[in-house]
Amino acid sequence: MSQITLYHWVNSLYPASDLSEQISTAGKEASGTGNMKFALNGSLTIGTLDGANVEIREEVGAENFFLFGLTAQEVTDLRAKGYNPLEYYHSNSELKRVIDQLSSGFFSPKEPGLFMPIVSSLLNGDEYMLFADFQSYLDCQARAAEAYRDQDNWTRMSIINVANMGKFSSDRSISDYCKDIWHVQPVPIDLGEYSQSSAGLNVTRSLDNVPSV
Amino acid sequence: MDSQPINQLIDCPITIEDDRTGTTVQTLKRALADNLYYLQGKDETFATLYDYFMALAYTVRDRLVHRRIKTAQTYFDKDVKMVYYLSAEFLIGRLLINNLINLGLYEQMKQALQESGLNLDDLMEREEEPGLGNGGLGRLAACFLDSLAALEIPAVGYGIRYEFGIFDQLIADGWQTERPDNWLQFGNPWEMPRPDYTVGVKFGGHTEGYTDANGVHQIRWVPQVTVLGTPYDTPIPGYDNNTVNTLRLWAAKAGEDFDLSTFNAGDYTQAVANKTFSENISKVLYPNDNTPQGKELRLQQQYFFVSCSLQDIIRLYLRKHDTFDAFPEKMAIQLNDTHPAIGVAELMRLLLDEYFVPWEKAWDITHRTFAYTNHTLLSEALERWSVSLFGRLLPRHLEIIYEINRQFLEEIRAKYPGDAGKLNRMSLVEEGEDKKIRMAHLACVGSHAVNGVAALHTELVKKDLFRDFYELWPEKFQNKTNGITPRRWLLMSNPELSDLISEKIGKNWVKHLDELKKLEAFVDDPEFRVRWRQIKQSRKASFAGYILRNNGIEIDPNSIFDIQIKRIHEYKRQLLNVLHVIALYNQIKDNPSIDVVPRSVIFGGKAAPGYFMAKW
Repeated sequence: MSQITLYHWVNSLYPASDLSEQISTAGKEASGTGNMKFALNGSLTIGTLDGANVEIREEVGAENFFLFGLTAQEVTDLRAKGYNPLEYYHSNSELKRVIDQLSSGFFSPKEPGLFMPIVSSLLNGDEYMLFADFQSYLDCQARAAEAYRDQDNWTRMSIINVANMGKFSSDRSISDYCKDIWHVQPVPIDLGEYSQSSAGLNVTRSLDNVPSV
Repeated sequence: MDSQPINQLIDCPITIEDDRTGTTVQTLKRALADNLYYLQGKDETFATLYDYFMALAYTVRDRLVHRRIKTAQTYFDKDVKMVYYLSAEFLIGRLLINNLINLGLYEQMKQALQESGLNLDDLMEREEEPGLGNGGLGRLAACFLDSLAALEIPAVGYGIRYEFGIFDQLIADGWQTERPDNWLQFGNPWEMPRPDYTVGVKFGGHTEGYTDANGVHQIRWVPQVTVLGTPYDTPIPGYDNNTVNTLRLWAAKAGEDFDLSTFNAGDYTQAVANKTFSENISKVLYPNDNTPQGKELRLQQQYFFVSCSLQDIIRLYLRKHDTFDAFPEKMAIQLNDTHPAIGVAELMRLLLDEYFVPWEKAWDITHRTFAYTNHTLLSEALERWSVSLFGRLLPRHLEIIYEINRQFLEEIRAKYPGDAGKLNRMSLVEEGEDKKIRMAHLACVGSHAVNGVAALHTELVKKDLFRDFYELWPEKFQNKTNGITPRRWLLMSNPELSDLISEKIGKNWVKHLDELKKLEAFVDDPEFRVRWRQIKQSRKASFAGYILRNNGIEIDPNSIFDIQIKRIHEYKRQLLNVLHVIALYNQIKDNPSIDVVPRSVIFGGKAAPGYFMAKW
C-alpha cells in the first residue's frame, strides 16, 4: 500500500469508526493520541485505565466508556506477587481453547507451528498480561455489542463523547506549556495594506550587516 | 490613460489585487496560470497532473510567504520571546489541504480550479506525504506546531530533513515487507532552502587545552570531520490568523574541506567515499517506535540536528543581544523526548568553548532555557549510549557530561550523606562493564521543567521512573496532557460532521474546542441524532467501499466498526484483540444460530522492521 493511499485510509478511518480499541497494559502507554482522534469523531472507546484513556473517561463519563482490565497499580502488585499466565490458561476454558487452537495449527494447517513464537511468549511469562485481562476484555466486548443494539442510545453516547473532547485540543496543551513552562505571550501579526506604490525594492542598508531570520 | 502624467499613475488607488497575495477567484486563476508557466515552464499543452499540483502549491505558498515575512519582521522588531521545539520527528502530513484551510482559501481555490478546468481533489492526491516520523511522538510535534501558530505564539520547530521517511508498508502473503519512502523524488514545493545559514557540526577527534589572550585556560575540540547542516524552511500557518511560523529541518552535506588531507594525499576515491559519511546522517528515519536501536548513526543524527539548531538559536539571539544574560528570558527550548537530550551538553559546549562564558553562568543559562518532555515509561526506550562510543564521537561532550555529573553527585552526596544507592541510581553514568550515559538523566538535570504527557503517566514518572529526582526537585515536575489539533482531526478529516456541528453551535469550536460542550443541549433532539447517525453511516459506507476496492473484502456497513490502528507493539496488545476475535469465532461456530451483533474488526499499523514479535 503506498503512502498516499495509507494517508487517505487513515483520514477516512477515524470518522468511520464505532469502537476504538485502546487496550494497552495499564501503565505502559504514556498518553496516546489516537484515542483522542477516535473520540473526537464520535467513536466510543473500549480501553484500559492507561495514558489519556483515564482522562477521556473522566471527561465523557464512566457510563459512556467501555472500561476493562487491571489498573496500573494492580499490574505492579500482580507482578510483585508473582504473575503466572498458566493459572489463567488452566482455569479459563475459553482462553485455553483459543491458545490451543493457535498452537495446534488450527488456523494455519499448512504450517502448524506458525504461531508457536506467539503462544510460547504468552505461556512463558506473558509480559504484557494478556491472560490476566482476557476475561475482563471479553465481558466488556460483550457489553459493547449489547449497547450497539440500541442505536439511539449509542448515538447519544457518541454525541456526548464529542461534546466533552474540549480538553484534548492541542491548543489547550500548548496554552498550558506557554503559561507554566515557556512563559511566552501571543504576538498578533498585522499584514498591513498592499500598495503598488511600495512594490519595488528600496535597498538602503549595507549588505555587510543583514540580520538573519 | 496615455496622456496622464506618471506621478498620477503611481498615486492612483489599487484597482487589481497583487497576483501573489490576492485571494479572489479571478486573481487565483491568474496566479495558477502564471506559476504553471514560469515555475514549471509549461502550459496546457504539456502540463501533467504533477505540474498542475506544483503550480497550485506555489500559488498557495505565495500567500504564505507574504505572511511569513511579516511574521519574521514582527518577531525581530519586537525581540519577542521564542519557543524552539526540538524533535527528531515531525509527522506533518500533506500540507496542501492544511494550508488552504488555515489560510481560509479553500472555497475560492476550489472554484478557481474548477473554472480553470481542474479538480482540487485530484490535485490533492498528487502530493507526496512527508513521513518524517514513526507515530504518536512525531504527530504530536506536528499538532503542536499547528496550535502554536493558531495561538500566535512565536515558535520554530527544529528537526531533521530525512531523505527517506517512514517506510512504505506492503503486506505480502500476510507478512509485512518494507519499501523505501523516497518522498523527495519529485521535489518539495513547500520548503525553502537557506544555504546561507549553513552551519558546521564536528564529529570525532580529540580535545586540547590552551591559554587564551587573557591568560584563561580554555578547551578546544579538534574534530576528525566537520559535517555541514543546511536548513530547509517549511512555513506553518495558523488557522484564521496572519501568523506563519517555521519548521526548520536540517540536511547534512559534506563540507568543502571535508577531506582536504585525503585529496592532497592524492586519494580521490577515498575522498569521495568519505563524503558519504556526512550525507548519510540525514539519509533515513529510524523506523522504531518505543524501541530504540543503540546505533551510532542514530546518535550522529541526534547530535547533528541539535547542534545545528542550537547554533542557529544562538545566532538569532545575538542579532539583538551582546551578552548571554537575557538568553533564558528570550529563548525557551523544549526537548521532545530524550532524542535531543544531548542539547544540554551542546549548549554548555557552545557557551564555554565558543563564547567563553564561565561554567557557573553557562550552567545557569542552560538549565533555565531547557525543558524536557518524557514520552515513555518503557525503560528499554530510554536512550543510553555506551561511553566508548560517546567518547569516540563526541569527546568534548563526554568531558562536559562528566563535569555536570561530578557537580550533581556532589550535591546529592551533601543532601543524602552515605546513600550510595541513590548516587548510583541518579548518576548520569550507568556503571557496569559497559558504562553508559543516561540521556534521560541528562535531560532531567539540565532542564528547569520536566513533564509527562498524561495525568497517570506523570504520576508514574514521579513515582517510578524519576522517583529520586522528584524527591529532590518536586517543583520541576508537571503534567501536560497531550492533545490533537481540531483543524486536521475534525474540520479537515470529517467535513460532514464538522458542518453539522457548526450548524448547531457555530464555528467557534475550531479555535475553542471547549465549545463542543454546547452539543449536549441537542443530545435529546431526535432529528439531530438521526443526522449524526446518518453521517457516521455514510463514512462507514465509504470506508467499506475503500476496503472492497483495495482489499477485495466486503464488509457490512451496519456492523460495528471495531478499529485498532497504531504502531504494532506488544504492549499495545493487538494480540489481545485477536484472542477476542478467535473467541467470538468459536462462539459462532459452536452455536450458528446465536444472536451476535455483527462486527467488523479492522487493524492498521506498521511494525518496526527488526521487531520480531510485532511482525509475527
